[in-house]
Amino acid sequence: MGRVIAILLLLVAIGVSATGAFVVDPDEQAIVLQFGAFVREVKEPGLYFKVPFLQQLRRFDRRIVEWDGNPRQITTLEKQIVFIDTYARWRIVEVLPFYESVRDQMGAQGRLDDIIDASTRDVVSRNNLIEMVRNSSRPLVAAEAVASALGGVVLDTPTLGRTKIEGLILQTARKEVARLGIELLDVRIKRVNYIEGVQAKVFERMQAERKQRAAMLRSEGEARAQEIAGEREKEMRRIQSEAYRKAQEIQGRADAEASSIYAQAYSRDPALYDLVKTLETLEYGLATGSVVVLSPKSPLFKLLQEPPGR
Amino acid sequence: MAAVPLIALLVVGGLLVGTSLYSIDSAEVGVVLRFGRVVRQEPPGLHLKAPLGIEEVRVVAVQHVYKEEFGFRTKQADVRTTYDEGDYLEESLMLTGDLNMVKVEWSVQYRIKDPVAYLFQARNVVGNIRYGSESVMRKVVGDASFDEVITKGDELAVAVHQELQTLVDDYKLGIEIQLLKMQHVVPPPKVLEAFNEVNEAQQESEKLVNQALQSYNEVVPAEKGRAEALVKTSEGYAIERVNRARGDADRFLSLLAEYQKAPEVTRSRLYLESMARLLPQLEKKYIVDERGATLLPIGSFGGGPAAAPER
Repeated sequence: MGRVIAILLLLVAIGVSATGAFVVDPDEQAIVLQFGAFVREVKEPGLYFKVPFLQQLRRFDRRIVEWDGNPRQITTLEKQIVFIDTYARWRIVEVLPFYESVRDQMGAQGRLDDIIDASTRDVVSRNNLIEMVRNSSRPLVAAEAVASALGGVVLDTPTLGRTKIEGLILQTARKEVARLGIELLDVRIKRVNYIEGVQAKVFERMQAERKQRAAMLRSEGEARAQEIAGEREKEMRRIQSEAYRKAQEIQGRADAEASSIYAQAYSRDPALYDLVKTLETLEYGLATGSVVVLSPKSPLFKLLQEPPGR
Repeated sequence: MAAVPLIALLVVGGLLVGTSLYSIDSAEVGVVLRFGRVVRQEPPGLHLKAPLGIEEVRVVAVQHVYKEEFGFRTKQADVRTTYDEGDYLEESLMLTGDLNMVKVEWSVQYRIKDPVAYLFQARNVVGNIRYGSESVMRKVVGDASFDEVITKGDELAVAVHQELQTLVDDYKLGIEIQLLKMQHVVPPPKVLEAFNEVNEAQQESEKLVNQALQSYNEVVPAEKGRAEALVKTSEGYAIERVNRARGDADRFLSLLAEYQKAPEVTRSRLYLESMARLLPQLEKKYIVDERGATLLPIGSFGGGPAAAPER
């Protein structure tokens, strides 16, 4: 009988100690408390035991947790108001201070809101907008139209740039956060935007600049088209007049040569030429069917009046 | 009551089998934890693990390509994909390096390459990817001018892809960015019309110039052709003129040679031959004395009464 009781007691003891067993997963870390007082922390995954009923277990995330801030209106150094939306990543490195200061993740997010917001404001208000937008000092063609819409915003090459700004915010926030057992891994700018009123002005300016450009393109096109038309006319006249000139030249030379040939031939006997030409003219000049009045003295009628051979 | 131990055995057996047999689908990996510690990864198939919660399996889809969209949402992917009507401007409107504004829509495709890291490094992997993507895209766009962003979208995408992968590796998320694709890179909606106007103006301008050039290219060569023709015609005239002259001159010189042999005879002959050709052509011939008293019609030679002229 005693043996049965002993076995039963053993089973109960095992059972009870089993309730003190707990597993810590790779994404967890935990602390063991005894009546609210810290006993030990568990950082590595595995199987562990605590005193059942007397000791409590509090689990925490071992993973990297993300924090996303609400977009905030902040004024930059040159008095430009912008929306800045940041996010950060953090994790719990010292569990007890974490538990004691913020209790849990929700509490931590709330504290981070304040801390990171404050350091963001601090850094942003000390810098010009361009520092939060650009990342390198590579030269860009800047649009003056935009600058004038933004009222005195500075468009010089940045000295810090986005990455360094993010680094500064991180530095400032990190110190505050260490007390909470938190390690802040990074703070990054998720979004930077103009506020409504400024956005509208920037759009207006962009539109105006584009309309101007459109008008300029059109008039440039027209001017060039006119120019080409003028060229065309000029070329036409040039071709025509040169052709005329050449033609005249050629004809003139030919006429001169012909004249010379005639003159050379006919001057050998001008009288003969006279006769031949006159006869030709008479033949071809008097058209068929004309009426002609002849004098009886005409040499044609010589034989009519006098027999030949005298 | 032998049935009771049998039933108990069956129940225990069932429990044991139920908590130790498991299967992994293709394209998945099973990460096995024993008492909270990662001990092995199992490929697809049927496997055994220690029962009753001693070992635990977490399944991760490693081949699956996940997609995150920014500035737009696909409603239904199909042969013709449809998109959500909303504008998601908070995600897509951003500042450029010259402080203009631009609208960028893009998507990120990734897959899990390290299941253990994916499971246990970060609490919200998708959140990390989304925040990281927006942050990197805006950083890259913010360092380029508006014109650069609009015209060199593809180069930008490459830069963003690289930087995002670096970020994701720094964060040890255990994922691999497979594709970063720019869906649209356009001027903000409110100024889009003005931008299109510039394109239209450019086209109109080019059209005007092309028309002018075309006119030039039609008219000028034609005119050149005409000019050529004119010159050729006058060349023809010239040749004809000179040849005629030569011909006439030669004829005269031949005649001259003959004439010089017998001048008087040649003269008379020429005269009479001419008249013989000429007079028949004439309709009416009147022979009138120079004192011009009477007009006596003779008629043609060889016909009609002849009248003796008054003396």
